[in-house]
Amino acid sequence: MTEQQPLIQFTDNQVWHNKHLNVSANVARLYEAWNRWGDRSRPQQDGWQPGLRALQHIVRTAEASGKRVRGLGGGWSLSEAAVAPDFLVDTKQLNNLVIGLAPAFLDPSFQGEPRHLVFAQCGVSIMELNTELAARALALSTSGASNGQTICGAISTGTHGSAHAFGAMQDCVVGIHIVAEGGRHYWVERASQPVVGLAFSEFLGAELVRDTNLFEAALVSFGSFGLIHAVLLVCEPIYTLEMHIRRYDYDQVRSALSTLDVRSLDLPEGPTVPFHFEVVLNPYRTRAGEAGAFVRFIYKRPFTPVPDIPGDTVVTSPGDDVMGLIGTLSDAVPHLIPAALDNFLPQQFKPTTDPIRGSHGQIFGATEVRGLAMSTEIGVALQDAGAATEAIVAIAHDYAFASPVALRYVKASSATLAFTCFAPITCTIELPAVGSTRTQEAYRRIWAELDRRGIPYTLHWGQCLRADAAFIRQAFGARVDAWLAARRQFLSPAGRRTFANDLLVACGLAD
Amino acid sequence: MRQCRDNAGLRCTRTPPRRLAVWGLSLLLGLQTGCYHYRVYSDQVPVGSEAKQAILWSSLWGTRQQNINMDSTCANNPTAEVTMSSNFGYALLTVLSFGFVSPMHVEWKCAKDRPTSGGSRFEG
Repeated sequence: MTEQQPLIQFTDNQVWHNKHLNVSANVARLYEAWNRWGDRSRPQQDGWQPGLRALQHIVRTAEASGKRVRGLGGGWSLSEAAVAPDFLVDTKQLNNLVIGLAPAFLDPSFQGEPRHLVFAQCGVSIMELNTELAARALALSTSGASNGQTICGAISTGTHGSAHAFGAMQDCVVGIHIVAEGGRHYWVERASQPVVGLAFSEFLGAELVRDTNLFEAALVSFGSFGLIHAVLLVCEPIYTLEMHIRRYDYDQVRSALSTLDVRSLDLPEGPTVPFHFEVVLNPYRTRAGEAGAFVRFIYKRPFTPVPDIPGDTVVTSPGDDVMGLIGTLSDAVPHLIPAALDNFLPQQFKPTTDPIRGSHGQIFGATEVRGLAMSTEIGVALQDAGAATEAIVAIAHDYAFASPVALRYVKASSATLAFTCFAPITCTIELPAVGSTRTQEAYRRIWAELDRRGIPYTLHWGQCLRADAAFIRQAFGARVDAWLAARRQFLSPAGRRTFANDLLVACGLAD
Repeated sequence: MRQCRDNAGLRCTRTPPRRLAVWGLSLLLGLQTGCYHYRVYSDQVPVGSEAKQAILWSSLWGTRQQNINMDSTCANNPTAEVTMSSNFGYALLTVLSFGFVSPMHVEWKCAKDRPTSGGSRFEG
């Protein structure tokens, strides 16, 4: 019986833009992979099958024509991580989700709860995950601030929240299904943490690979080990988040930035560090009495359902082009930037009198930002958070740019090139801004200032970064060698070229 | 340039600098932000494709119009989001043609299948 062919659509010679419009590329071919067979039918079960076949077909086509290929998720990355000039594969339709694995498919040594294992195809969005998990009284342990990314895109760049006791999104992953050279596919997991049995990988048709070094390298690799078809996540029972927002002077939060000692902040649970602790600073309001620090802290509580309240039908918002206009104006009239932030931040972070409660998906829901935006995110050791913040504030005072300074805290990840690599806790400092020449220059000055002050730092792979081999080597040290070694072991020279892009080359990671 | 009105009574034709500045700023803003967007979307419906786009023309004072049939682009899935955009140039064309033609830029994004539809044989 002839094997069914998957439905694959494509457009040639496409100009592609990311969601935030700061990255664009001329793509020779933009593929759309579907969980449909060629006659548009869906499988009765194992809905992921056509999608897997599609990815295999696309890889073989790319290899046959000497093209490079990259998977595209939600397009949320503000860096060129997802860009390939040859073949780009839109994976958003590959959103099959299997919640709970049958024990027969698990390794005998697996001690966890099979019901908490989730097989998520690459294109499942965080929103879909939150919705489907909640329906089964489950939840992700962490996610980014919003829910529009695909699971593989989020994991592959190191997306995180501020779960200082847990880690980033990739730290939920216990298995990776990769389509690599020749369309061959592999189920990769840690040798130290086997989860699935041979029956599972054989069912997928994949080769089971238990290799901790390979797993940790491929986990945060922004598509450089092949096309990731799916991941296996560990979730947890559903919980309620209780969110508070308060406003302080910069001096009041200063000591907490580098220590997570929150005693002086008079929080509801005193010295206990909340589940999520985040500080957003207005860098132009750092003096006493200016209340330039917005602290968002969230406690984790036993689950009590909170109904969704539908919003208004007609929604008035800033125009799609306003961000670009603000960028142009801020370049032309930078002395207006502090006043703009004075106006913007209190609206975004309204202090709460009563806490806001909801599930993980309700608290970290849709945050639609339209228009030209940029962001960079710096990872530093916890003890360096204060010094790094001072460096950023100093640059902002000297060269105003339209961005708050947002600090979050993430437990260090074991992924080889995770930017949250400073143990035990990495402080991530995000600088979301309007897209403009001034913003780009500010980022460059900040990076240079951190170098000048001798503060070690990394940069988020999915945000504006220094695509410079020397910097990557400086930031990650021996981890670069471990990552390269794992990639060389997994892929031949031709395979390394197929799954490379310009960013990888610039970072000295394509060899 | 003709002389401003003076004792000889000639009419001034120079545009005052302030008016020039206002026109210039209006034109700059109009060109810079010259797109008008209207969107139909849902926070609960995940987007399943990159934006597909077309310029649609309504002509003969609306007696003839173009529509999008998205069956071929969305594999029979519904849409998750539609954005209609006009700009200064389209508006000018509509006015200059006395409404004979009126273009509109349309973008649409496909919706996805339900993630857990069909089940799987390794499901617990």
